[in-house]
Amino acid sequence: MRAGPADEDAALLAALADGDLAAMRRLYERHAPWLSARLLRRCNDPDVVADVLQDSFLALWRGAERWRGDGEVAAWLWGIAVRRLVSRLRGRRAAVVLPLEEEADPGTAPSAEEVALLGVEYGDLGSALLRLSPEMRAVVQATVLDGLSTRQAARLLGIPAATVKTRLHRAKAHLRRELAGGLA
Amino acid sequence: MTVVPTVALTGVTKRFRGTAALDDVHLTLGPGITGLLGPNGAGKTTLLRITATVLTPGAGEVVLFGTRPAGPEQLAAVRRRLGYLPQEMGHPRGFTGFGFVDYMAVLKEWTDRAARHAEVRRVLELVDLDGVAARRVSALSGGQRRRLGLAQALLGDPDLLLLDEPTTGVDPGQRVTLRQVLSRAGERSTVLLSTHQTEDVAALCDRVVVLDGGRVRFDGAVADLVATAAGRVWLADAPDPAARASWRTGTGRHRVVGQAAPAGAEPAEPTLEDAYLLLLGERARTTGVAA
Amino acid sequence: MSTSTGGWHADEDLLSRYVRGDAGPVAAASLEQHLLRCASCRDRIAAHVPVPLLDAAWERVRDEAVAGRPRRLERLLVRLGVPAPDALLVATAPSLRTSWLVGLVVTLVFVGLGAAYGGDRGLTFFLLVAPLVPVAGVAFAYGPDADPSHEAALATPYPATRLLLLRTAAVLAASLPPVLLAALLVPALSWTAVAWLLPALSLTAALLAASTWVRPTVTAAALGAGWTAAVTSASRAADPTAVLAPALLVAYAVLGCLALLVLALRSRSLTTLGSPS
Ligand SMILES: Nc1ncnc2c1ncn2[C@@H]1O[C@H](COP(=O)(O)OP(=O)(O)OP(=O)(O)O)[C@@H](O)[C@H]1O
Ligand SMILES: [Mg+2]
Ligand SMILES: [Zn+2]
Repeated sequence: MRAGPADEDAALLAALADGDLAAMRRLYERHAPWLSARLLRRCNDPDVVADVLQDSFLALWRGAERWRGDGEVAAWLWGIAVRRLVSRLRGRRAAVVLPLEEEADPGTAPSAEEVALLGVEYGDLGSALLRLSPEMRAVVQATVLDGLSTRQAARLLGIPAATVKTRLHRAKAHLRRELAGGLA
Repeated sequence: MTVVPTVALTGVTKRFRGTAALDDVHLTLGPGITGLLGPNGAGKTTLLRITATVLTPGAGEVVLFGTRPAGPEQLAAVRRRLGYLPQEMGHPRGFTGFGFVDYMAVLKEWTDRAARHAEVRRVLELVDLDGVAARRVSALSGGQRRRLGLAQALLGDPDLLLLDEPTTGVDPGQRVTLRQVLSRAGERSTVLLSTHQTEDVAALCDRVVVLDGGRVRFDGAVADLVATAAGRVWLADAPDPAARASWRTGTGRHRVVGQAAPAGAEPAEPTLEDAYLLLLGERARTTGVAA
Repeated sequence: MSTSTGGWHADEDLLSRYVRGDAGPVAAASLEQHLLRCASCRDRIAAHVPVPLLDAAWERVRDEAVAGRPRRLERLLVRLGVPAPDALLVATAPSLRTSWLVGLVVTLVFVGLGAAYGGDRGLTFFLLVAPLVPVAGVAFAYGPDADPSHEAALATPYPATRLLLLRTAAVLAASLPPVLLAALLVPALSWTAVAWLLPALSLTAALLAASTWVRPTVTAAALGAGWTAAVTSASRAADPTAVLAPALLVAYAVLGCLALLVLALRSRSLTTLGSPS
């Protein structure tokens, strides 16, 4: 059996602990592109994204042995990167625009393509998510999809933590209702 | 205007408990690469140490860049312009390759962090170690550590480069890389390197100094030393016990280096090694030079 | 790749719209979840991402990774106002951490022994060891025995005396506090809990002065033997604190000053390799 990409990532991570710069380069080539694309959707300042990229890979370099060896390296990396992004954004709110907020256009119905795509990853939850207001969706995205804590999500979105909590609460109730209705 | 030589040693003598490691050595060096040959214990390391100002001569005069480094200020001024690779070069524990060269760069007064790091990266690239610079020195191979030592000597492109057996333990491919680095350095700097590899001297140096028993036995152009062996090297069908040296080569014939042609021998092209063997005679043979 | 995606992969158009920021929230969220599990889509998205941003970040990552962060001690020293290059030289002193740890462990062991035996015996142990801790620390922080790159370091313009003093200061700063703390735990020590600092400092000064003739490790061994003899004979004569008698304390102070004077006068010899080894 051929070694899968996950195994290759794990092998590269193991080599980092020995100070192998070539392995670091490979990991960067494999993960920096999608990471930067995803970061750019949360912060449209390329300088900040470059900084976050640098922070994240240096954290990887210095703490590669902290990876426990289960799950996807990509997901682990995203966890590091999004937290670095949050801490970088502290105190520079004004410079940052979140693309998510721009798309606030509740009137438009989701395209068929979007529904289909979402079905691939989320099934029924996808169409329910679509009917959330952009503000609530942003909160769900930051907490549920990006895996941030309430406080981190608040910092990323530039709103008080209490607001994150109430919006998340309402969004969950909404989703529950939608899913129950869909089943009925 | 006369050109001031980089190194001028006159009558330099150094004794260790009575035995002379260096005995009345006169040597003047200017830009270019000079090879220092000699059997074990000949005094090469002692000569390089004295030239590098880390050892004081017992007698004689050492003039570097036209000054006798007497006071601390003059000493520092001279040391600013020299790079030195000792024969025994260890590394304090815990360093990465980069960290070690960075540490040496601090000692060489590269105080600005960004400029220092750029210089460290430059010399590591020169000796082809940039790929493993992040690795701990203890995890590097012997040849890689040797190149790390050379890297620190190259910091700041010194005017005087003193290298004590720089190619020991270095693989052939890397030796060629080092030759390129050194030949480039020799274009403007004064380079003195000791070695047991006559091929390195033949490939790299314009001038060769042969030490034996603390005395200079030869000082001149490499070609001149090689020329001394003309007509004294042969290929024969049998070994010649009377010769200075004779050994069976890969082709099955015997290379004979000596004074008289053995029967049925045909003349061969002399090499620097042949000339060196002849120069040092019996002594070189017993201490074994061509390892 | 991953079975959970049911063979679905993002097409080039979706990837390019996602990177440009107009894929729509739902498609984007889906793709993001997919990317976490699909190496082939991760590879293909690279063609759509601006290269300069990636390259610039990589160069910084590489340089920082290789250069490493300044050590914690180095950063602390810089914050305390020590010039950055000096801080680096102190922090990289061979075996600085070891000397601190050894100082701590040895002292704690002897304090434990002292507590176990109690009274004079414990006191003797303490007086025997405490002043020698900094001496041993300095011996293992400078010189050809402690520093395998000593010869190369000598050929640099950095003043050898300054390096020696920097490292001595570092060793003192690292090793004296744990010993001082330990002193407070020795029951029989009262004012002597501080008085031992005087012989400690003067022995260290003697070591520095002697290092202009012989390598520090040799001197340290000699000083250790001398001090041990003094303390044991005082202890035999019933009072180990006799080595801290007022007259002797004055003598330590004078000796220490003399030693520093010798160091200053002979510092030139530190700039070259010592006598034949
Ligand atoms: N520090 C020292 N103490 C005592 N003797 C020494 C010392 N350094 C060198 N010697 C002696 O001086 C002589 C010359 O030694 P040196 O190291 O200069 O030789 P070398 O030509 O470098 O030899 P090798 O090829 O083995 O490196 C030797 O006899 C050696 O034993
Ligand atoms: Mg030698
Ligand atoms: Zn895919």
